[in-house]
Amino acid sequence: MKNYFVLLLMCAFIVVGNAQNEHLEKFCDQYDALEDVFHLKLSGGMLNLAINEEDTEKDLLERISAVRMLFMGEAKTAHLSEVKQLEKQLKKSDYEDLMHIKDEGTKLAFMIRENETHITDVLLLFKDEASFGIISVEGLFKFSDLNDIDINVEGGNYFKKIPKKRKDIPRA
Amino acid sequence: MKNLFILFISMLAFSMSMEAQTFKVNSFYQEYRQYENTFSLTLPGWLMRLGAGIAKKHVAEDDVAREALSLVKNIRRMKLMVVEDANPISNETYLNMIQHLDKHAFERLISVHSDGTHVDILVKEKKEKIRNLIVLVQEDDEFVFLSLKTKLKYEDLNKFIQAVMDSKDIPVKQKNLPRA
Repeated sequence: MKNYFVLLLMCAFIVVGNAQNEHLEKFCDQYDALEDVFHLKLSGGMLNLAINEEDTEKDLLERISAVRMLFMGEAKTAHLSEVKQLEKQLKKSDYEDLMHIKDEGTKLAFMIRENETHITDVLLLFKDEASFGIISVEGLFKFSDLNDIDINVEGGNYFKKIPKKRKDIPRA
Repeated sequence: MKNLFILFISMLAFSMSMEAQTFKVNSFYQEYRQYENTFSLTLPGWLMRLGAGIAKKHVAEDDVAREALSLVKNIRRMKLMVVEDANPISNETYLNMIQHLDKHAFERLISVHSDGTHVDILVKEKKEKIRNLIVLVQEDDEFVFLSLKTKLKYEDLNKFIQAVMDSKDIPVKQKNLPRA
C-alpha cells in the first residue's frame, strides 16, 4: 500500500512539474489568434544556430533554453484582470516579483524564478495605454546576466533597467 | 510481484491519461495532397543529391547556395505540400498536428503567430543529429508542409545560417539578431 502511495505521488509530481509554464502558455495562446498580435517562441536550439564564435555574449546565449514574446498592438491589449490573474498564477509557480518600475508612461514588471543556484526564468511584462507585451527568457543565469539580455524587439531594451547587482534593485 | 503489478498498472494508466488522439503526419499528408489547389511532391534523397551535385557546379561563387546544397547531401527524403487559394486545413487541425508532434518527441525550434499567419519549425533529434525536420506555414488561404528525413548536424545548419547572415550583411553581433 505504501509503495502504491509513493508511486501515485511520483506521477502527480510529474504532472505538476509539467504545468509550471502552462499558465504563461495558456495566456499567450488565448491571444495569438487575434489580429495585431505577435507571438513568438524560440527554443535554445534555434538560438544556438545563430550563434557566431565571435559573439561577445556567446556564453550567455548558450545558456538560454527558450524565449517567448507576445506583443499586442494598438486597440488590442490584455485585460488588466487577466494580467493580474497571470501574475497570481505565476507566483504560485514559484515566480517572484523582482521589480516594478515606470519608464515614460510604460509600466514594467519583472519576475524571476530561481533554483538553488541560478535564475531559471526571467519574465518582463510591459504595458502602456496602447500596447502590452510579455518577454520570457528561460535558461540558467546569474543575476548579473539579466542586465546583459539584449533583444532587438519591442520591449527588449527594458532588460537594461535591471541593475547588475540584486542589492541595487529600486525599492518602493 | 504485487508491487510490480501495481507499478505496471500505474504506468499504463498514466500513459493512457495523455491525449488519446493520434495524428499521423503521413496520413495527414496523404489526405490533404488530394485536394484541389494542392501541389505535392515526394523526393528520395538520392535524387536530391544528384540534383545538388549538378547544381553545385553552377553556384561556385554563391556561398549561400553552396551551403544550402551541402545540406542536401544529408537529406534522406523530402515531402512537400503546398495549398494555395483555398486552405481546407482548419486552424484547429493545424494546432492539433503541432500538439501531436510536440508529444511525439518533436521539439519546436521556432513558432511564430502573427496576424493570422502561423509558422512552425519542428525537429526530432537522435544522437545529436536532426533526423526529422518539419516546416509548417498556415494562413487563411495558404498552407505549406515540408517534411525532411535527415541526418543533419546542428553545426551544418549553423554554417548555412552564418552564410545567409553574411550574405545579407547582417552583423553577427547580437544587437541585430532576433535573440535574447
